[in-house]
Amino acid sequence: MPYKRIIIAVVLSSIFLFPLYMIIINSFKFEQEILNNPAGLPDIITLSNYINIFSNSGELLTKSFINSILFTSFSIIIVLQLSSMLAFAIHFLKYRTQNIIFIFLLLGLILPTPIILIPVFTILKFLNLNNTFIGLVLFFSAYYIPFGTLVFRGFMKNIPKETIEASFVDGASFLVCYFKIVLPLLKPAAASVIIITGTWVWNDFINPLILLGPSKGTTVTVGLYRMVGQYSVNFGELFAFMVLISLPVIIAYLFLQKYFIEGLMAGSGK
Amino acid sequence: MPGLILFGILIMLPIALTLIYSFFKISFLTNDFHFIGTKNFYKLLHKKDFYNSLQIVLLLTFIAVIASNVIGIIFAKLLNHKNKIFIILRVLIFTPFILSPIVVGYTFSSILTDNGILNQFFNYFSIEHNISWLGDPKYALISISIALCWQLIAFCTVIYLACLKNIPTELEDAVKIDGASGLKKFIYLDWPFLAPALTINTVVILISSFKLYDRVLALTGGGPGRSTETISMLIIRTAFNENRVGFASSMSLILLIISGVTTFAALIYLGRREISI
Repeated sequence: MPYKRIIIAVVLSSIFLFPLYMIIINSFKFEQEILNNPAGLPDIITLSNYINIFSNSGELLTKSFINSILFTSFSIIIVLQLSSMLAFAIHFLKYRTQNIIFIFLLLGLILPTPIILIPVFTILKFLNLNNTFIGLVLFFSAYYIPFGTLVFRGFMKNIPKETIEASFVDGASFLVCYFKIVLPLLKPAAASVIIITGTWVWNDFINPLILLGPSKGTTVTVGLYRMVGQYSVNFGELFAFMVLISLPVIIAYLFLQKYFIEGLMAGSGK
Repeated sequence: MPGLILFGILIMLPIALTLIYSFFKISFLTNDFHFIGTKNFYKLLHKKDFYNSLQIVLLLTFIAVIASNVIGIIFAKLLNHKNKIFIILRVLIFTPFILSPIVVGYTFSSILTDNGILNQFFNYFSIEHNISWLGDPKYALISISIALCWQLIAFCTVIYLACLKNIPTELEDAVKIDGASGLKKFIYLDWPFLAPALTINTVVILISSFKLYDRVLALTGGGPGRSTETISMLIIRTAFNENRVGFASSMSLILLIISGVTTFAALIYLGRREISI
């Protein structure tokens, strides 16, 4: 038994994960105890921090949650649909055209969003979609289509060409082939795209902050920022808020972690 | 292909518009929009804030690439074992990466502020030097790179682990029989298998560092002074607070070129390297 190795691994991982432990444990402590004994287990477990944020900024919290749930689910649906179709359609193009499209998609994938936020803002304004729900969902979808397409393509390579060709011989149309043959085979890819895109959209901060406008809309991340700015929060409430908004992603990750890592590998072209 | 159309309108068109805007003087407030040629770029040459931000981002990128890759490999080697405890640790170690960067920013800010947990800890052991981790420009950059690397190390570790799994057991046994151990085993056996992971990790680190915004906003807000203001923050401030949209676009264009060239260069160089070893 590699006891030495286990001890080293556990100690190093504990140090590494200490910030995480600290947020969770301190969200259940009274403020005085956080300051006196930040690292230890709580003497008395209290839910007062969670109750306080509900009574002090309950509206901001619920509104943020509802918005984020809507943004995330709509973006996921659009990305899933459009990128799987794109990956399927690209399959039939000439090799060179495929490559050109992929270079553009790759450019989109490596693009830091602050660079394009100004023109995106003006385009959405031109379309009368600035500060709207639809505008932000469309932007999120557009931004994550390259990633979705690369993941779907990675998985699509494993589908034998004969399967697709055979369905055409049988007289299936392009769309029938896509919905009846290809889509069911892409379920694992879809799981990866859902969990990864979902996490990214849920966690995004700068895009909703700018595109929803300075005062109007809110998401969980923007809500956190607003709460710190508007109310005088103490540590306990801050931690409780952060635990609440991180919980959905952490739970989703724990259940779908296999797909998370497979998707990241597939999306990077491996 | 509606996907391509949406992508074209909201991603590719904005890239083109960034190029065009950078030759104009634009204001969102007055709807002012007129051509001023290369004046924006000329002004940029004399803008101290821009050089400052550029320097900060390049430094942070450099630190992140080295530190996250090295620590990621060490963690991956350490956790690459079949015992149950290691399996649990492997799942847990990825969690920092799935947190929102702004959450990470506030987490580290509560640890590092003047009366935060780290200084409380020092006080507890009555060590009498209260370092201002976020208020002193020297330490503020270190604090930010810790918050940045924390998430990136989590990512690197998991990707390296995924690649270590691909090493065939027969090969590992053969190397053991040959008597290679330690560093030698790592260089000749592990390193070639880790090459694809190095590519993915480096590219992801580059992308995350170039767009660095949320963590810094939560940690220092760009301060003290402008000592930790990243380019993304400078662009957003110039465009949406100071309303100098054209000028901000010229900065965006420079950042686009720098990040594009660096990332593609890394992708091509590391990609070729994968094949040769």
